[in-house]
Amino acid sequence: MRGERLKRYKALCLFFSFMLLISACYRAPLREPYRTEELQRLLSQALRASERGDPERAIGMYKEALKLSRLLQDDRNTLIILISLSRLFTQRGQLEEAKDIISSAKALKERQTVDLPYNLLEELQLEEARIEFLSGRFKESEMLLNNLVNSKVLNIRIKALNLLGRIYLEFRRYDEAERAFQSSLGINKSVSMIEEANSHRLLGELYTLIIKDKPSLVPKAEFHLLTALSIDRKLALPDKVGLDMEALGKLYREIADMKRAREYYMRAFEIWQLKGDKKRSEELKRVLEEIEER
Amino acid sequence: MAEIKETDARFLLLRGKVILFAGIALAGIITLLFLIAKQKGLFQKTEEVYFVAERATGLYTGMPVKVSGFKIGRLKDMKLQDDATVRITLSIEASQMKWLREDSYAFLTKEGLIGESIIEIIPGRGRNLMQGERINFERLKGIEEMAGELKGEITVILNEIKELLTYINAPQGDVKKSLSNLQKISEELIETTRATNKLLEELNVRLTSIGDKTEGTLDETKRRLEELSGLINTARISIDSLFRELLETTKDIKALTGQSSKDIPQLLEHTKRSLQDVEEILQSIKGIWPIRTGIKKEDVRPVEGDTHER
Repeated sequence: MRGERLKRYKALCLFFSFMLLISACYRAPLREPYRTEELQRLLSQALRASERGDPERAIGMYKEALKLSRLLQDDRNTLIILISLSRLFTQRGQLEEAKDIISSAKALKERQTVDLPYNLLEELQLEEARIEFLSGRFKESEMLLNNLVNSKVLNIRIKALNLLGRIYLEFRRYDEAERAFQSSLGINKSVSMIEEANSHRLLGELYTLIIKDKPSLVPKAEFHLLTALSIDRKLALPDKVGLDMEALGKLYREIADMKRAREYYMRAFEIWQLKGDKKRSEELKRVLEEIEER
Repeated sequence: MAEIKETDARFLLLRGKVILFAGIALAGIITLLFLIAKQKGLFQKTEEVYFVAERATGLYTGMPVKVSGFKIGRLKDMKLQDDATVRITLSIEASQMKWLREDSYAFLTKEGLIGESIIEIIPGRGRNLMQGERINFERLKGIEEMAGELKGEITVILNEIKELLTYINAPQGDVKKSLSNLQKISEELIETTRATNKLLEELNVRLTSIGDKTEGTLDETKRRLEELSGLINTARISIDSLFRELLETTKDIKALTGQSSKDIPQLLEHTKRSLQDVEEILQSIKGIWPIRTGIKKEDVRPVEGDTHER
């Protein structure tokens, strides 16, 4: 009897101890802090502002978001913000600011505490390559891009090929450049219309460069440049239309069709003047004067 | 009583059993109370800081104090001071005092747009705050205040548009007056033209018989010519006045356009700002629980990079 009772008390004590242990270990699940939602909202608004062509507002909002994401120690969103800021700064020609931003993004990647998604890391690598290219460090840029031309993300692969093609153009490796642009066009089936126009324009520029040795390339060059122009007009991007006009002017000047060259240069000149790009409009003014003199 | 023997085995040691049962129940209750008290933070070491607010609206005792969404303390006490301000005392967990620095800010805000009111601490830099020290305080705008501001702005815009329309539509206003003057002048001009035409027709008829009645008609012609000259003078005067009126009308229209052209950019700026506010409010509303479940969450991605920039 006594032994049975003792057993019962023991079981009771064990049960209480178990309950105490569970209670001590239990922690209520944490609710997602509302600041995280605030950050997401800021990021979407900033992206929309940049897509609407308002980089000033977008930069302001990304800077606000950066403070918040650093406070929350949200590495993924911090990286997205830094990449976006770098791209917005290069859009406005502020290369030094973009370099600083990308340095801090690289530092963040080095000391990352959680695994970042591979596509985001590739975006960062592409941005690094772009900054290196814009700074004239073509070799470094080429090394970074060689890793990205086999990316699983089509958008990144297309951009890497276009940038790589531009590097080959700088090194006068025209055959490789042509292959890169053609491959980019080959995989770009409605992935990115801007990049499609870029590939066509760059191909047109490439053919214009070698037209003296191969005059048979004139129709090809004209076709690619006019295709780029028609896409950019559809997308309503004045900067890109300006680039297309200028490239067409250059092509017609090369083949001594001065009337059409003047016409396209004049339209490009008007666009750069409206955009307030003094450097480009001055250059085109000089070219137009030369054409007039002839 | 001593003669009654407890022979049933179930009643043996009954008192001991009852005491044991009651003891276990009591121990359970005490443990439960202890755990609840622990969870409520009654045994946690806390330190106090305070801030001074102009009014205690929206603040209440026990209100949570949070940093980045995590509760670190609560509002302990509110006292009305002699200068009509309110001294608010916050009780903060001693282990979380590290977030409170010299330039930290306490904000009265809401979790989300219509969530619970909380005191949010924004950690700053500088030295750590000590027990009994003061922290800076600000009140963040709630949706009511934002909506109030927006309403104010929209009211201003609507009033301006109303004034503009009233100015244009006023029966005795410059615009209406100018238009009616123009109408009057054109009617007068038509009349003058008709009279001149009539006179010319009459003159034409008279001229056909001029050969027969040369002498007689010379005086008549002279008279008619004088009449014609008078009419031409009248017409000239009318045309002069017409030009003057036209000039004045043009001036009026120019002044009106000038005034409107000053207002229009302001109106556009107001509208743009209001639309931005509305967009932000809509975004906030989209984040509210029952609504957000029906809205597809946007994937956050970086700005598109360009490989052939200008």
